[in-house]
Amino acid sequence: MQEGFLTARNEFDGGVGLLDMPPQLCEVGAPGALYEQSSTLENSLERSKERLVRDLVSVLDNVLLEGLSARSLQEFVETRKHVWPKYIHAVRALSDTLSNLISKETRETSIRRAIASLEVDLERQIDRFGEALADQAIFTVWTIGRMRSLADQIVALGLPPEKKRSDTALLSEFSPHAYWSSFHLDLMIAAIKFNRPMPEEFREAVCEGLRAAVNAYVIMKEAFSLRSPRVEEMPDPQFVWDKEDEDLLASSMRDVDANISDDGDNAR
Amino acid sequence: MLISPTTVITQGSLYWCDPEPKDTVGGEHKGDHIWVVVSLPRYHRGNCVVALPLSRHIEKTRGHLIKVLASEITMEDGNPSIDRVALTDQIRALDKTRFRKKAGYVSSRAVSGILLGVDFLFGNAREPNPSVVKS
Repeated sequence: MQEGFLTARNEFDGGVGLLDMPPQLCEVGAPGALYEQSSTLENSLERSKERLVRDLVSVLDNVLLEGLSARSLQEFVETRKHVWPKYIHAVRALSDTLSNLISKETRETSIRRAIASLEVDLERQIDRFGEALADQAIFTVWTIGRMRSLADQIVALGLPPEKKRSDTALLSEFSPHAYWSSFHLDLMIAAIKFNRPMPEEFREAVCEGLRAAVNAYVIMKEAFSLRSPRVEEMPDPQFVWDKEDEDLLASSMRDVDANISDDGDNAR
Repeated sequence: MLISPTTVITQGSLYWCDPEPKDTVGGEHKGDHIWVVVSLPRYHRGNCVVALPLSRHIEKTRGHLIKVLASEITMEDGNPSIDRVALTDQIRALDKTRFRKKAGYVSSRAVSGILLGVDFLFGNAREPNPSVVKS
């Protein structure tokens, strides 16, 4: 599976397109395993409801632990194919239940806190994940924050009725990328939570999975542009350009020339 | 053929940047890179544009060094589109009159992805408010 920037939807193993994704953008991008970490949530729930949430978290944990049971890349790819639909069901069940039990404000506060503590946790997990995967995870958590901020703007802007169809198409393209990225981040959170190793053999595959967050973000940006189209403007001739600017630009170009390397496009 | 000072350079355009003549090998340019312009024409002063290199070494992909798939790159100079990585940490002010020729352009989604990497590099944690950007 080729991932990274703009993975085609049909390349996602498990046929997530068959699932009826929720229409709200703003809940997507919150990794499911984060729900476990919040004391704010626990304080807001009665005991019976708390038990229900714990049961759902436990189902999600088991799915993730199954994903972490692989010991080789091939095994990981096979296991992931198997657990991916189960993950979608588990994370949606948890998300829907919490939406019904807890106010949006409490959920937002809880997720914000959990994301902040996750960033700190990931920085301490270089031994477990290796530097490249830990870096990618930190970037992904940061991207999730950007997506949540962008979702607020999208919701605030509203959508002209004639753009509804384009928006729906973007949403169905967005959801698999957002879930695919969350799945791989949740695997890492589960590895921390249950002190499981992340074998080097499939770290790159997890890294690629995390990169789907960039795809999700750029699709969201398109949804934003539907609501607030950008007008291309020409250069403003009123800007001052003087000798100082000329010298600085020449200095920048000298820097480029000095750094001509052997890895250019025409390097042998 | 170099680019005229009057040419309007748009965001997402790809250009080959001309190194000093001493760096050329025959007709080819040894360290030649494709640069993607990330600045908006509205804010271009003089011959200055802001761009970053798109490397063919995709093994460098990592966090804010964003992979750009070939499907998001349109080449107009006969070169094939290949997967590339946007080296966001090599962002530079470039003199557009040193651009050798236009190579093509990247999709608006690719531009958004690259700018996401740049924002991470610069520590911009929140999505910019469009009303502030326009003012």
